[in-house]
Amino acid sequence: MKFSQRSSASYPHAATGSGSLRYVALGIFLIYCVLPATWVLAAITKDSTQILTTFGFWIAYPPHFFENVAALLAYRQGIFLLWFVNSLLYASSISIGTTLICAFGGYAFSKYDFPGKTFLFNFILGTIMVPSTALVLPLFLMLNKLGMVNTMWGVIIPSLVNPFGLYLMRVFWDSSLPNDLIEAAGWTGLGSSGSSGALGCRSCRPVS
Amino acid sequence: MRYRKTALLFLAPFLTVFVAFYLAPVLYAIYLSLFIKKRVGIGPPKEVFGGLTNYFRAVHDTDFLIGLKNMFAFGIVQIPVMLGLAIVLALLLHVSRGLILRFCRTVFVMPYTIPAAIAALIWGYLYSRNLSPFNQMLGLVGRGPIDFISPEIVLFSIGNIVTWSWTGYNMITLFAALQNIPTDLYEAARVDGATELSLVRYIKIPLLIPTLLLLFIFSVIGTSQLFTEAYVLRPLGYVADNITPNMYLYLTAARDANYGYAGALAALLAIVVFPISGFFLRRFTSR
Amino acid sequence: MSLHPAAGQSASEFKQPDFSKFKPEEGQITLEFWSWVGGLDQVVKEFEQAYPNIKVHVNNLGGGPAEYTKLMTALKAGSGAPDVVQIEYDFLPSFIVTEGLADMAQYGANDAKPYFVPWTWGQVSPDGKTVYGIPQDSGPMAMIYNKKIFDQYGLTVPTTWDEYAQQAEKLAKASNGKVKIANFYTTSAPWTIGLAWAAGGTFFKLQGDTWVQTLNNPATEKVLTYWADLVKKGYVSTITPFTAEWYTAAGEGQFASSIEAAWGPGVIAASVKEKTAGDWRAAPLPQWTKGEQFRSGNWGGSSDAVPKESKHPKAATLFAVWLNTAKGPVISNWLDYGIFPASLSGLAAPDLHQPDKNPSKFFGGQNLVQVYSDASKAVSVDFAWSPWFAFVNDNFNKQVAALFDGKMTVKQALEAWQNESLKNAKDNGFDVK
Repeated sequence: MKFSQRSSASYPHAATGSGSLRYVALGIFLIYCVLPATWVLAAITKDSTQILTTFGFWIAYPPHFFENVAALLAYRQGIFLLWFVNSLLYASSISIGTTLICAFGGYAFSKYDFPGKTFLFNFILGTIMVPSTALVLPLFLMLNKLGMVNTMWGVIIPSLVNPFGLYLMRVFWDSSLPNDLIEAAGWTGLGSSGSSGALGCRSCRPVS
Repeated sequence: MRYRKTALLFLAPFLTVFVAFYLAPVLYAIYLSLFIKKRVGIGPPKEVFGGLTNYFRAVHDTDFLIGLKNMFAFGIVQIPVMLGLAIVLALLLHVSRGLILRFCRTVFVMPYTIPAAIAALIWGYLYSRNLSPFNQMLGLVGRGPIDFISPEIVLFSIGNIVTWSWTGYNMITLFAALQNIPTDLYEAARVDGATELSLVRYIKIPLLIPTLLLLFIFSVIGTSQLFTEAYVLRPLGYVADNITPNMYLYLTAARDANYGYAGALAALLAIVVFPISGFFLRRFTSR
Repeated sequence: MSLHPAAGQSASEFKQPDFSKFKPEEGQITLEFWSWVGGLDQVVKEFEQAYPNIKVHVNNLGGGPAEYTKLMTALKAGSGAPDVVQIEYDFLPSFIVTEGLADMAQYGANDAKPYFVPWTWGQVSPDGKTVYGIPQDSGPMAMIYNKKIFDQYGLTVPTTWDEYAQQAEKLAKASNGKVKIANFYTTSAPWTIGLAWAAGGTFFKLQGDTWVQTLNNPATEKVLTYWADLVKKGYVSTITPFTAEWYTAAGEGQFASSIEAAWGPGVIAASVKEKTAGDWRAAPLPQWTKGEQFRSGNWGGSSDAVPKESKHPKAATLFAVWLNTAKGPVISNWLDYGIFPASLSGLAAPDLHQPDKNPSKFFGGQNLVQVYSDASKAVSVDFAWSPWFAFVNDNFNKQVAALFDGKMTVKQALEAWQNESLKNAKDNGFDVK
């Protein structure tokens, strides 16, 4: 009871004046976010002449929705579905891979000390600043030598590098797994990796 | 000894991929930047070691300098606008509840889920002279169509796309930070007679500053890498090659096949951005 | 002097090279073909039937520059290039200088020479011995107009540019400015260059080992001044060609004419579809001076080249020659996509003109081939492109944008175009003045 009292005190209903202003502001931004999507949804129903002659934000009559979808699926013998499946594949493998790699790496930076640790960490973070377009050609030449061009791995593996993810994971490990816990585990006789593994996996499950 | 070995084990996957697919290309790009092209007659170009010639040329390249100027001008306007919007929205959402909260939260982040190229394409249609509903509406009231890609306002048009895409993401980060603020602070302040507005001014915003700094740094880095939106708008009409330094860099490599010069431009761009991000990063990590 | 092929080609005879002289490699081969000509999937089926051990995989990477970027990168990397690739004549020199294209002469390409319009062969074989590509099509320029609109507003078909400007004014007054006489393509340097070509302009010349670039020649100035004037007066709009906007404007009768290359009608007919079908006609390009020799220019046109990286250069050469000289593909490419053949037999084939099929049908059954053949004969043949044309192409857009923004005069725009392109060429190591 006391809790609900507190929460209602922390989030009071704003006085009516600022309340409606708030809704107006939120509403405007809502429209702004949705506007381009509205245009796309309306455009889906149009054929190439209606696109120019009907109002942008409203659907056309007669609608050509099914024709457009059919044309999309038939385009180049249904390659769109293949692209879609590929995207799903890439998205899942890259996100899983990056999370794992960064989780391990972040743990190392968070829980261990080794010479050059600060320098290495800052260096890795610093590389975020390199414009990616400059890397494209050298990366391509390298992948070429490795024979990875035009393969799935050529897309997945370079994308696994995520310095920002490393940073996030280090912060996470810093805050969620106090070093004393590890020491305690160490006393029970587990090796360093054993204790890290057991504790680490348990605590990081909710986050990733 | 035991410590170090396990650390290396954990670090190994990240470091391997990092060195092989990130560091190596960067070093290779820098290596390439030391070469210039020399042509004899109509043969293919010979890559000749030119030392810092490319860098020298880049520093005097007015196109590149104008690109940098565009980048700064863009950042000075777009970043505060976007972050300002994000703060206001986060604060407004923070005092909202229930359906409104959940609905707004989802919709606001929706633009972030749309890939930059798609967002630029959609907005490209909304910017086009004949296809744009905005120009249609203007036509109805008898005014002429706005050319959103004209050199005067193209940066604003691109800025609009970026703001649309990223405000939601920034807002949600700030919102999460707001939720982390212990509510006893509010209680204490209210006991002292604080109004809603001063709660915002003296508690919420100051405690948001670390998160804001982080978002600011990422925005700066993002601005320096601005490419997709500008590039996708090119088929619509004339967009300057050097509207962003990153696009200028890309065209130098891809269209002119001048990889050495592109490498030099990239290195210089990183060097320009580094102190700015570094300065704010230091302030952030010192807290 | 007739451009038409070996005189005496009867109506039923379509001269093709002896394909058996081009022996492909043995075994199962798959050729990777990059091209943006539409409908090739169907066309290559005929080839695959004739040569069962060869499969052709067509990949459309997008027109022109989009494909060229990928090709350039693949050639530089030494792998990833296709076996056959479509390259427009104006971009071919950029690829020749990379030394990444195979000399098809060693695979017998010179046997195909007599079957092509001479100046197109000159584009792919600058020194007469090495062959860097097989000509696919050409783009001689002519004027197409919407007869219905002309009749509606009482316009006459102009034969000189002065008359054209007069008709433009007449149309603007009669339609209250709603219908424009044409479009000026602000993002197509080759279009303006083509018109300047017709006015006698030269742009690039290779003298020994040095290039001479003259983008700001008097012919270009004349052409640009003329069109800038019409745009300023509001008689000409500036819609980007071959976009949804342009097709719809054509279909809705928003402009009355257009200066188009030979491949234009086919593309337009395929995209505009029903609206205004049958209303259009083609007429010879307006001239600058009445009574002088008829001249036209060329816009576009591509060849099919074989990168050195290809593992099956013989099969690739065979395919490239077949695609551009065999009756089936040559005729269907014109009918389906308006590819105006560079093949002499193609030009002479009566099958090419079919009044009840597009593109001729879209033009009221008019014999487009005749109009464009005449134009093709009137194209001056010594015209060279430079290896840094990609930059020239893009830089044109920049100068024209500034020109129409009122920031520069025509003279200044041309000076800037010339100087900035010159600087870029020099920065890229070319010996040019």
